[in-house]
Amino acid sequence: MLIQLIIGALMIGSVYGLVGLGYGLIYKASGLMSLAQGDMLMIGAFLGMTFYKYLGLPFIVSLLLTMFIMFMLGMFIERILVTKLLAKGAQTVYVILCTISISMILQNGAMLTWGSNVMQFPSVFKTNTVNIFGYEIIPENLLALGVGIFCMLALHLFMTKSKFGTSMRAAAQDELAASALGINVPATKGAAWGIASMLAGGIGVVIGPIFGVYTSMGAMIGQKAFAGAVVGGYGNMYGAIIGGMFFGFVETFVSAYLTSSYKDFISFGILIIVMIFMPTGLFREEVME
Amino acid sequence: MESINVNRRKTIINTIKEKRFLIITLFIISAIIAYMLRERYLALILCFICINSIAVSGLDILFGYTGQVSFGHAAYYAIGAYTSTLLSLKVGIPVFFTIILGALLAMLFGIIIAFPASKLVKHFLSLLTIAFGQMVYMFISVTDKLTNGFSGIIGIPNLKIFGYTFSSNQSYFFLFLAIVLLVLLGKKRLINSRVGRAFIAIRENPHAAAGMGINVRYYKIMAFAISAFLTGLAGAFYAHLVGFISPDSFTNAQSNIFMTMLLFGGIASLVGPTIGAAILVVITEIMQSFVSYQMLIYALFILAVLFYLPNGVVGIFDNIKQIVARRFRKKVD
Amino acid sequence: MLKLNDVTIKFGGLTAVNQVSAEIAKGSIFGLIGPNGAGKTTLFNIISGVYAPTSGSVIFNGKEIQGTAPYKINQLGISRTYQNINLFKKMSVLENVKVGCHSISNAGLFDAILRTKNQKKEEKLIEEKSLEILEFMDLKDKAYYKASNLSYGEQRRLEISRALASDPQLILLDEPAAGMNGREKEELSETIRKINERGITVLLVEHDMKLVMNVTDIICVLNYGKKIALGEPAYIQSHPDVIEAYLGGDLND
Repeated sequence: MLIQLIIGALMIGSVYGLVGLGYGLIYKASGLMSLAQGDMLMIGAFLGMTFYKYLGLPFIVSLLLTMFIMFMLGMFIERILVTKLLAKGAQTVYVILCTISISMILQNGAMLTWGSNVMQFPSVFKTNTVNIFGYEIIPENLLALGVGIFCMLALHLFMTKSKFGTSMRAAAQDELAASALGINVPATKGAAWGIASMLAGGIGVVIGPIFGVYTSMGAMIGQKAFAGAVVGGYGNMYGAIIGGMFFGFVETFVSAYLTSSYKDFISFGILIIVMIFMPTGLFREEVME
Repeated sequence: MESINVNRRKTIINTIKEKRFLIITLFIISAIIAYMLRERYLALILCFICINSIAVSGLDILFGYTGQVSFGHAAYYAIGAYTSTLLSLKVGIPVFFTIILGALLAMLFGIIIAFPASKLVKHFLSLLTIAFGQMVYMFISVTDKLTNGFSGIIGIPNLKIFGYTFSSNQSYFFLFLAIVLLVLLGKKRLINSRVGRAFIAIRENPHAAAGMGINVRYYKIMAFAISAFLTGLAGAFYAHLVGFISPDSFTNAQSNIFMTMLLFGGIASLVGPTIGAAILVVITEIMQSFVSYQMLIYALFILAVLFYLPNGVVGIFDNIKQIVARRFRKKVD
Repeated sequence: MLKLNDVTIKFGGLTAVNQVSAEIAKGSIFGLIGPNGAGKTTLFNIISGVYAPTSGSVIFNGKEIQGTAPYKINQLGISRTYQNINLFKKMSVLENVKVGCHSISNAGLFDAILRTKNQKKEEKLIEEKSLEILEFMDLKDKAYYKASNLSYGEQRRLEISRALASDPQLILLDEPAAGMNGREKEELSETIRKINERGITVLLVEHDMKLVMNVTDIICVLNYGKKIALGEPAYIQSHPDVIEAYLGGDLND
């Protein structure tokens, strides 16, 4: 029982962590906030399901194809909408509003395309459970956890070892200096938004088989991931993972041992308390005026 | 001497403006009344316009004038609605008082949220307000014993004042209209006062505002309180008008609808919230058969405002006014 | 009137202001000069409450005020202008000055909504006072302009007008001449003198040496956060440390 719970918590925690990482990435690169991350996850899940279930593509191909499309979508939103809005001298809060309307469009668009019912994402593996050290575990949970950890490591390597990743970090620290060094700063921003939505979309495909696919699936995950990102220290990518894991454990264990109806209430309560008493989160980033 | 002249001229202009405003509103009201006495459905729509207009005016004081964003205003709407409903239905307090208590409780929560919120920058303020909105929504959704959960509460009693029961949409409309006018008058007076100037100064430049002796935190909290009070009041009215409430009316989407109404009508303007509420309520009603496109349309409205109409519909009117004035001035010259 | 006792402020490892002591006499025009990064604006921000000093005290009319919130400092009678113009851009010129009257008025929320007698009277006084100040600062014909539509020099004057509105005993002017042309600077010296004649003590941070030498009674020179000289303009002009701080004395340009 406990092991299953821990695996479940790790799984959902890595989902929150990965989506939250996207928030951190966007914030680091452009100083902005997107509230459409959860819906990126939802769109990813729908796309993945369409490729896998209806077009009969192999799972891994569906996953990669979805991630590619989501990368383009994220980049498109930054390049076309956000940049234009900022060029008009809009305040950051209007960018948030813009992403809210994008999230509304994505949700409504998904509903019009795929309907408003919960759709079943066929299971990826043939067996229903795998037996590890005598514990029955759903293999999709392990897959989600595995993909989550893989993406985090890949991103870490990309940001620290690759040339473009280094450019992104440089641009995030000092735009002016970076562009003086010949770094294409707008491209790094676009890429950050692209990667953020790619990660969310990818994890959406992976959790599709576990939770089913429906239009509002992203909203709650997106907000929890956000909560994780804040608790971890907004803008700190590793903090977002830890924060996401924290909320994964909180809600798993609260619903197992205390109350399942109030688990989200408690999660958001923790978030508000953290924002009141520790607004910089565990790993500080600037949030106060 | 000269300063007195300037003063007098300004006062005269203001009086004329106020009178014109009154006459126009009275005219519109009488026309509407004449028409709707036959149309029950129309009266209901007008009631919704009034209720939303009160709620959005509240949001405007917070966001438009003080520059503090809230994406969770449905929370105060819900607190007003559920408090008034439960107190009147389960405790038996007269509805008139429960409406006030509902608005006051919403205000209290607004103040509680404002304490941490007044210190946060925009991104985090957005998140805090969303989180609060979600908490209230979840609370009313899962606390079955108190709120009857997702099934909602039916049979909410009508408002009764001095023995008169508001039982028809028409009667409610008269009441709401009077309250909307009072809210607008109060808002106008507030904005043109020392407090209103402090609000706007904080929006424009919080550091300079503090330098001018304004206790920024105090006024930010005050704006939250006023805002939550008005939205809570609107929520309570909604509950007694419709007679049924469920968590569906108080979701995240409702907060976004308030925001859309505000932006589309025109931010930081007296009648912007009312115009925005009117347009969106009417469009929602017209689109009743296309309900699945509703969010899409709201989203496009927001984008249209963000990209093309920074001052909303009121901004269009202002532009027309300016163009006309310029033409007129040219002719005079 | 204002006394600085060993005021020190450290940001991390950096000591921005180091044990500065000075006394500003009532009714004087006190200049604060120094090369870039000498800590002038930081000292200003300490006096106006934006920063609390790490050690030392600021005494205003016999009361320790260091670390007091900026809005309270204003209410005590110290008002300020900003180096990088900080006007309320979307408000009219008149409204900007009216905001400046915040500390000397007290109508609250309910007075405003109910439009009480006192509130009306107070609003009228605020309006008259604001117009009077605008006239004094030669901005009255622009009273109904949006603040952002003023010229640069006018915006600087509006900053001063707004600071005057709270009837300060001490006004802090942070580089009021920045970006002004020669004629505007002369007018500014005149204005500063006129403000002083109203009985307001002036603390002036300024880059423009000519202006400072012209208008101030006493000057304090900062370099690397330390006070290196304090005295009358003539004394400062010939002070070797000051000349060295300014690298070969471009004091006279």
